[in-house]
Amino acid sequence: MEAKLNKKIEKKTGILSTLINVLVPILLALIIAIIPILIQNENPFKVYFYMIFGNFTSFDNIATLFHTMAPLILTGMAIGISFKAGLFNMGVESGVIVSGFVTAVLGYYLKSWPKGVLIPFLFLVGAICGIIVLIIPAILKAYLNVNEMVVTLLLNYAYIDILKYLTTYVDGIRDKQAGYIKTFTIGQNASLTGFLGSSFTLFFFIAILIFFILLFLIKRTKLGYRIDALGKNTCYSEAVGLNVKKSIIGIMLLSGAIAGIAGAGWLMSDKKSYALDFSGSPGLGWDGMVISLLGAHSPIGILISSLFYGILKAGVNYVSFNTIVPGQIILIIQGLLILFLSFKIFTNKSSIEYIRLKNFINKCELYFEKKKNKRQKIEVDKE
Amino acid sequence: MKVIDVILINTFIFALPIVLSTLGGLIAYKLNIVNIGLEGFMLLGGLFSGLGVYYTKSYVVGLLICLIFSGLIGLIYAFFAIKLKSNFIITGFAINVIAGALSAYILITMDRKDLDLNVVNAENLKLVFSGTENIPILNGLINSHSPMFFITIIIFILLVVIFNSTRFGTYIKVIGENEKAARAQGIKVDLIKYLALILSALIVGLGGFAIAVEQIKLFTPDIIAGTGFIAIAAFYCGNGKPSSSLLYALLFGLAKALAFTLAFNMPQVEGILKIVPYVAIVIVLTVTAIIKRRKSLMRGVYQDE
Repeated sequence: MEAKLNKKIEKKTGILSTLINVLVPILLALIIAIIPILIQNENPFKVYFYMIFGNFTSFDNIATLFHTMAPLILTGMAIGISFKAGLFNMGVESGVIVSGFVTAVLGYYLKSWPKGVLIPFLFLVGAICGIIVLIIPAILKAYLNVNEMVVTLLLNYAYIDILKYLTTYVDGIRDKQAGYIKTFTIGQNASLTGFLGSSFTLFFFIAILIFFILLFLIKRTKLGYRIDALGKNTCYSEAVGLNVKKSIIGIMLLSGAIAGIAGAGWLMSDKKSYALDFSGSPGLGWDGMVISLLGAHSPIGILISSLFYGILKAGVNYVSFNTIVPGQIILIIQGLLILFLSFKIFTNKSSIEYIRLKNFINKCELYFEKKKNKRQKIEVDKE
Repeated sequence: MKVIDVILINTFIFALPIVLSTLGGLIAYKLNIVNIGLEGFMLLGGLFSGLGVYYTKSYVVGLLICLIFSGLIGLIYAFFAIKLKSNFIITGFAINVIAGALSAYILITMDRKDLDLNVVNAENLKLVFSGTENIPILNGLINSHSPMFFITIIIFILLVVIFNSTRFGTYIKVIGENEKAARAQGIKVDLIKYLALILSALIVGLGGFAIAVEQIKLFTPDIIAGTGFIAIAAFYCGNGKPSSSLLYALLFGLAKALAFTLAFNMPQVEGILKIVPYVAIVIVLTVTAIIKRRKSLMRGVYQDE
C-alpha cells in the first residue's frame, strides 16, 4: 500500500518537475529576447503574436508548420538517442548536409527512374550517407576513446568546405544558369509534391513513421536499455558485460542514418536543389539539439518540442514579413533556450531519485542475468 | 628559402589565436571543465573588440573593451557552471550559438555586412628589425611580430609560473583532481573556480581580438571558423600541460599556414585545401589517443572516466 502511494507521489513530482524544468527556460528565453527586439524599436508582443499565431491563420500556414516539423522530428531524435547515451554527437548537421547534397546530385542524374523506385532509393542513399559521415567518429570513440564532440565538430567544418568546393567548381554538379551557387534542380520523379497545393508532403508521414519505429525500438527492444545504461554509467555497463564498443558504434550510426533521412527528405520536399544555405541558419542539426534538450531526450518529449520549435521556426517568417525585426531573432532565442536548458531547476536529488536509480540498476542486473543464463543454457546444450 | 620564411610568418599569424585560446581553455581544463564555448568566447571577444576599434579608432581602447566584455562573459559562464550546476558542455555550446546570433543580429541592426577594422592599421604596430631581411629562417622567426605576440609570450610564462609555483595554481589543480578533497581541506573552491574561469575567458577573448583586429582586420560572424575547437584538440593532445599544449597549438597553426600558403600558390584547389588542418587535427588526436592507450595500464577503454 505504502509502496503504491510512494510510486504515485513519485510520478506526480516527476511530471511536475519536468514541466517546470522545461517551461521556465522557455519563458526566460522569450523574456530576454525582448531586449534585442526593443533595440529595433518594435513592440515585443506584436512580434511574439505573429511568431506564434501567424502559423494558424490559414490552411496553408498550418500545412507549412507541419512541413517545417518533419525534419525537426528526425534530427531531434538523431541527437536525442546519442545524447541520452552520453555521446555528444555533433555530426548530425554534417549528416544532413552530405545526404542533402548526394540526394540532389542523384535526383538530377537518375530522373528517368520511376517515382516509386527513385524516392525510396534516395532515402536509402541518404541514410547511408549519414552513416558514412559518422563512421569515423564512432570508431574513434568506441576503440580509442577520442572525444567524439571535438572530432565531429571539426569534421563538420571539413564537410562544409568539401561540399562548397564540389558545388562551386565541379562541372556537371553546379547549375551555371542559376544566379547563385547551387546544384541542378532534381527531376519531377525525385521530388515530393505537396497535397492540395500546399507545402505539406509525404515527408511528414515518413518522419512520423520513423519516429514510431524508433519509439518501438527504444521502448520494446534492448536498444533502449543499451542507451540508458551507456548514458548512466559506462564503467558499470562495461563491467556488467554490455558490449560498450558495439553499442557506441551502433547508436552513433543509427543517429547518422536518421540525420541522413532528414537531409534527403528535406531536399526532396522543400529545397529541390543543394545550395550553400541548404540547412538554413541555424542548421537543422542544431535545431535538433535544442529540440532534444527541450524534450529531455525522451521520444514523446522530442515530438512535442519539435511542434513547439516548428511553431517558432515557421513563425519567424511571418515576423519578418509583418514587422521590422529580422528573422535572425530566432537564432538568439535558440541560443538562449540552449543556455537556460543547460541547468536543471529540479535536480531531484531526494530519495525519489535514489529509488529510481536503484530500480534501474535492479532492472539492468535482471536483464543481464537473464542473458547470462541464456548463454549458459546454450553452452550446456552444445556440450 | 623565401617560401619557408612565408610559411614561418604565416604559422605565427595563424597559431597566435590558437595558442591564446588553448592557454585559456587549459585553465578551465585543469579545473576539470572542458569549455566547448571557446569558439563563442573568441567570437564575442572579436565582436566587442571590433565594435570598440570601429567606433573609437584606437587599438588600446579596443583591447580594453574586449577584456571587459570577455571577463563579463566568463563571469556568466562561471555563474552557470558553478552556481547553477549546469551541464557545462551544453552551456558552452549555448555560448557558441549566442555569440554567432548576437554578431549576426548586431551587424544587421547596424545595416552592415562586416566591420572594417583596418582603421587602426595593425601592420604599423608590428615590430620590424631592419638588419635581418637577408638571413633566411631567422628572419621568419623574429621579424614582424604584432604586439599580441609578445602579450602571448608573457601570458604563457605567467601561466607556467602560476601552475608551478603559486598557491592559486596548485589549488586549481587540486580542485580539478578532486573537488571534494579540496573542499574538505578548506579551500574556497567556488571563489577559485570563478577566478580561474574569468582568467580563462580573458585570455580566450584576446584570441578573438588577435583574429579580428590583427589577422583578418575585418569582423564578420564567421571569422573564427573552428579555431576554438582546434584549441580544444590542442589541449586534449597536450594532456593539459601548458608547454606541450603550446607545441600542439603551434603544430596546428603550422597545418593552417601550410594549407594557406599552398592555396595561395594553387588557387584552383583552394577550396579542398581548406580541409587539411581539420583532417590533420583529427589524425593527430587519433595518434595521441593510440599512444595514451598503449601507456595506460588499465583494462578496458572506459575505466578512467
